Amino acid sequence: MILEIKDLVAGYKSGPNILHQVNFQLHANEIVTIIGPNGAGKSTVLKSIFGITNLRDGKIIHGSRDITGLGTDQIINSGIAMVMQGNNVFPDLTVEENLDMGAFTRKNRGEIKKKKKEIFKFFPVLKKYRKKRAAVLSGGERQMLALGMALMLSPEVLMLDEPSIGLAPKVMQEVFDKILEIREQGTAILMVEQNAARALEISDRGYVLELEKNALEGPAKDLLKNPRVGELYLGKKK
Amino acid sequence: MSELVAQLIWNGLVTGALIALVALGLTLIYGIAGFIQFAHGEIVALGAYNFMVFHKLMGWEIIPAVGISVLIMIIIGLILERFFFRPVREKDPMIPLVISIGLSIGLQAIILIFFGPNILTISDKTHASISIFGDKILATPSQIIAIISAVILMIGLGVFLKKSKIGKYLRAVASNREVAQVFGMNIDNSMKWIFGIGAGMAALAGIFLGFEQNLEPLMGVHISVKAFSAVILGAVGSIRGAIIGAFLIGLTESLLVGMGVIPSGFTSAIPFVILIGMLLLRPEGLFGNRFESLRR
Repeated sequence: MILEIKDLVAGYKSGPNILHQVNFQLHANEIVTIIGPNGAGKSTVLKSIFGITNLRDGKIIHGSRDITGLGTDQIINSGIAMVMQGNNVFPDLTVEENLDMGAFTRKNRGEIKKKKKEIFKFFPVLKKYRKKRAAVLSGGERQMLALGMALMLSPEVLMLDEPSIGLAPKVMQEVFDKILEIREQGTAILMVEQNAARALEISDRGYVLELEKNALEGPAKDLLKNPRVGELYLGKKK
Repeated sequence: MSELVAQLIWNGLVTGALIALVALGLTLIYGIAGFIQFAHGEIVALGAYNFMVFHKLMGWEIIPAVGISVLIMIIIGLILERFFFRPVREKDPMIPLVISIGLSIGLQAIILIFFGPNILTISDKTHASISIFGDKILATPSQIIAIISAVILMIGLGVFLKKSKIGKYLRAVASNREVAQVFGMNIDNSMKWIFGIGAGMAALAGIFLGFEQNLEPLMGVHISVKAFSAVILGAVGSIRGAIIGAFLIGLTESLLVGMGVIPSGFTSAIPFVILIGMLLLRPEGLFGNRFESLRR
């Protein structure tokens, strides 16, 4: 097991608890998707792992290490990276500067340069626009840049918050294809997705988060067939 | 070009350079912290008074006196950030704004208590003016140094923001604070940097200003009003906009008053007139949405 969340309780600042007793696991090289209705706290799960919310109870174990309550920079250095939902790049910086800033917590310049080369090879569109400001990129290009920034950290675990949001179907497909390629290179992926059907298709397992708790979990194929999930989240009629 | 016009342009450039030093701090602080720092002008004034104490009262040479005054103001800038602005960093931007107005008034009172309401001068020595550009323009040594240092600082700041890792980090935080956090960037540190840099440049502007005119408790208000106008003129948060706005205001003021278009009593109204005209014609500022801005 590469990441384990045990009985997580969390909220924002002094606000109420958003998550009550959330549990899940991520194995090495796995793609796991968390689905659930709006406001179920899906994004909050990712932010909590990343130390951005207020953790009130529970444990987060990465590999054999307890990372509960660590600072974001320490969590990054333990090998976890996150791509936020929506505005997930620095619009006023160039594409290349964005990638440099992705590796902000890394000190080794040679390593950063090498990594950047790899990213440009992996996302040729980023190389093409390396000197352009991120603000002028299209939605899909921006999502590729956001993925590239996170990959600058060579993470063991990559967390993606709604990677397909706002993208046209064809572009969405490209993003999902890249996500599969990233997994093939040995990164485990934990994803939160509105587009549950599409996300579950490329996932190994899924969790359904309802009313701030785990409601259902299982192999992605089973969830896709589950009539209740189908009705609630996949837009299928009874 | 007549000698009068040349002289007025020179004077306008000097004023513009000083406004720019103040405006850059304001625009940087806005970019990172998201509010207009109303006490920034008092940093300018305190810088000038500080220099006066070390140079005139304690007899230090100019360069060490400048060094110590700038250093003290950087420390004061960091103290203001730590104890007045950082605690409210996550709050509505109206809160630090109001705090900064309070600080402005408080710091003016401190100047009054220590130095009194009377006009003071920064140095008893008068420096002879030098003719430059083929005898067309009379300039004081401090004006020449002010312009040269302002230009060096502006270019330096630009290169620092563009090329250095810390500069990129500051622009990144200004560009999208949430993403910055996700990549492990410390937001408090960016506040420290920006308040330190801003205070240092403001103090230097204050010292140059002290050579140009007298010291009085409200000198910070006068220069910061022009700097605010410059920042808004150029588009709030934009570095290039602040610099160009500053020179526009300096030059307009010098030319309109010097040519007798406007009586000198109206000098301080000029930035407002430019500003109101600008807001009517192009509310996004000269460089809004066109050039890179620190904050979108």
